[in-house]
Amino acid sequence: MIEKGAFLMKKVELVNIGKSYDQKTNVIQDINVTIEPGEFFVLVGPSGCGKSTMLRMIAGLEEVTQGELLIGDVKANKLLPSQRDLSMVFQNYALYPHLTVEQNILFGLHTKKISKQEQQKRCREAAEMLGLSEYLKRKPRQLSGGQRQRVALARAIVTHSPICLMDEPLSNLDAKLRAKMRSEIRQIQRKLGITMIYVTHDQTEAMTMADRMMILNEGNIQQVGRPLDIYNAPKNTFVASFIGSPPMNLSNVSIENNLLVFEDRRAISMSTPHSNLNGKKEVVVGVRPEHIQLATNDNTSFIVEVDNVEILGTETLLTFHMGDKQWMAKWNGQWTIKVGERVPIFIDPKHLFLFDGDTGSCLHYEPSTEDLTVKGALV
Amino acid sequence: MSAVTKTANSPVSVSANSKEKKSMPTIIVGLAYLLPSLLLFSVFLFYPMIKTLYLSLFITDTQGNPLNFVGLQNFLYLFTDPNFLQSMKATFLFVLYTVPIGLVIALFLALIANEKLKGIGFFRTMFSSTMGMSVAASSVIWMFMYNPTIGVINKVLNLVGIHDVQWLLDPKYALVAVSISTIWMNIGFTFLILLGGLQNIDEKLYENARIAGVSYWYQLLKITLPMLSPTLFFIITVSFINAFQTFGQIDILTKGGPTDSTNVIVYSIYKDAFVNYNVGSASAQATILFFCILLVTALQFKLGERKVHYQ
Repeated sequence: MIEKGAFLMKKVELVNIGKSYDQKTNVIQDINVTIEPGEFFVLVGPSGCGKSTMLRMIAGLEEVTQGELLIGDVKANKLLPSQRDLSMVFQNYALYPHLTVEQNILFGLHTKKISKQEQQKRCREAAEMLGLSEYLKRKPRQLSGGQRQRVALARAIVTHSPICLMDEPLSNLDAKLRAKMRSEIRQIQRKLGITMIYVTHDQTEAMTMADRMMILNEGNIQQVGRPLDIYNAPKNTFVASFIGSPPMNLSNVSIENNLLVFEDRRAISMSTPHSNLNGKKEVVVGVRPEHIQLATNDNTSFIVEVDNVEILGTETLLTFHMGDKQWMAKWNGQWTIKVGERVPIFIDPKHLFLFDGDTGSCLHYEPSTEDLTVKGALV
Repeated sequence: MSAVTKTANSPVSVSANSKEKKSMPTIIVGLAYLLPSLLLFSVFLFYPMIKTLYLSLFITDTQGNPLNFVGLQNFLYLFTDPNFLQSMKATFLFVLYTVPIGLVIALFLALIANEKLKGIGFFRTMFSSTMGMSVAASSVIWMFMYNPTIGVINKVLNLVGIHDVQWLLDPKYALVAVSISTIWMNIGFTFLILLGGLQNIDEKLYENARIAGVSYWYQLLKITLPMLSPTLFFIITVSFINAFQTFGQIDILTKGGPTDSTNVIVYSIYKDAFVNYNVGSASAQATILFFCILLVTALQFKLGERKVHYQ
């Protein structure tokens, strides 16, 4: 088996990185981030946000037009892709259709001055780790999508490169297989201690796999941090609406005497007056779907008319109108609610997020006090 | 109107109807679709082919009417006829000169034109431009270039101290000269097909190779050529058939001469049929050519198919 530590760990540092194709407009700009050795770092954002471009710049497939790229403390702006000591997994796997699985896995290893026996040994190890041992003599077209994905993964592993880049590696797989590969990739990364930089547009992948993640939009960093920190304290409305499923409910409100007034004149009170609102009157209020609860007795915030109900087995999603927007609530359990029914709901003021109406940046939230752990519990 | 009529016209009810009525067998329907092309092929291809096979077994008069049935006599005579053997030799040499060299040059041009550079479109247009020239026009241009006294080729050769070469009049050089001009004429088409094949190769395969750090030649041998193999196979087959059937440039440049050195088989057929009015012999030669091409093409499919990787 490959031991942890067979891979040297390396960090990747991006200093003021920018990319421009026409010397005028930047497709990405001002990227400053340090990816720690052995970290699983996810770049996430909607399509066209520049995340793949950034990955390709780290790989050396695109030129860095601004700033400095450091790989393991060495300036790498001008290094060839092969000199950067990294491996990459592509979205369409980029397998050579005329070569067998084994030849695909070993492709290019001869350039690293590795003996034939060592190559064979690594190939066997990687194939075993990924369950490909029986398929080594097959051609890629004789494999299923998931197996091809594994071959691409094996090809990255056998190089023993300290850094592995992945460009939406799971997006060609069906949902079930994707969930399986997600945890498989994470386990391999943990076992080998590789520094992983992973690009995806799927926030679920980002949330579930990342040690830390970076959310990009239109070439700008929106937020960098641990998934839960980002979930609990989104920096702006973009992050709030991008992370979480269903996303955070957002509506324009005006502040009148400690009350948040919606466009349809419904209102909700804030817990305490907030000093950092700077006297702003027009703000955006945000509530996570799971924080909209069924009202008990006398704590009703609103009565809403249900537009749609989706029962998912363990939870029920309600859609209703709130001001100018459709909101969603997520309740645990299976609720029998008819469309058009009027339901009283309760929103605890401590779960409210307030965002600047113009810039979208977060003005106020209360740090979550929820802390579920099993430490100390009887096992 | 809509709902009711639609149900009546739905495919299900049609198939039910057809079972009851016992409509035309599918073979007849299929043949009806094939009729236009069958008709054209019959008139312009199948009939002449069968007629040629038929005539090759006869002695004919000058009008091409069969006189005596002689069986395989025409063929037996041809294989002992030094003129015909010279024709075969010239044809095979011509194929040997034009196909591999033309292919290598076109592949080289396609590889350099496949790079993503500014203004590469200009070169792509230039490299493929010979496709737009008719054989007659290019042959005339080459005829002037080969001219021993006013031709540009000898002028250039004189500069480096080589004396006048009688390109089209010297039996030693005539076939080479015609081959060179043929290669030039065919490069445009071959180049275009190969470039198309190259552009179909997934860019990611090369990106992976760049990260792996393999050399350019390794990429060429292990990625480009295997991935290009279906295109190469196609263009090799087409080039072979074209080379076997060359006529126009021979007719314009050398008329089969000097001393039959460029008298390739199609030109020999033409001369026998329309100059010497020996239609029987010409038909026999045409039949031999047909089987030569059939053999070479079948051989290519047999050998090539195994090496070709289709996606």
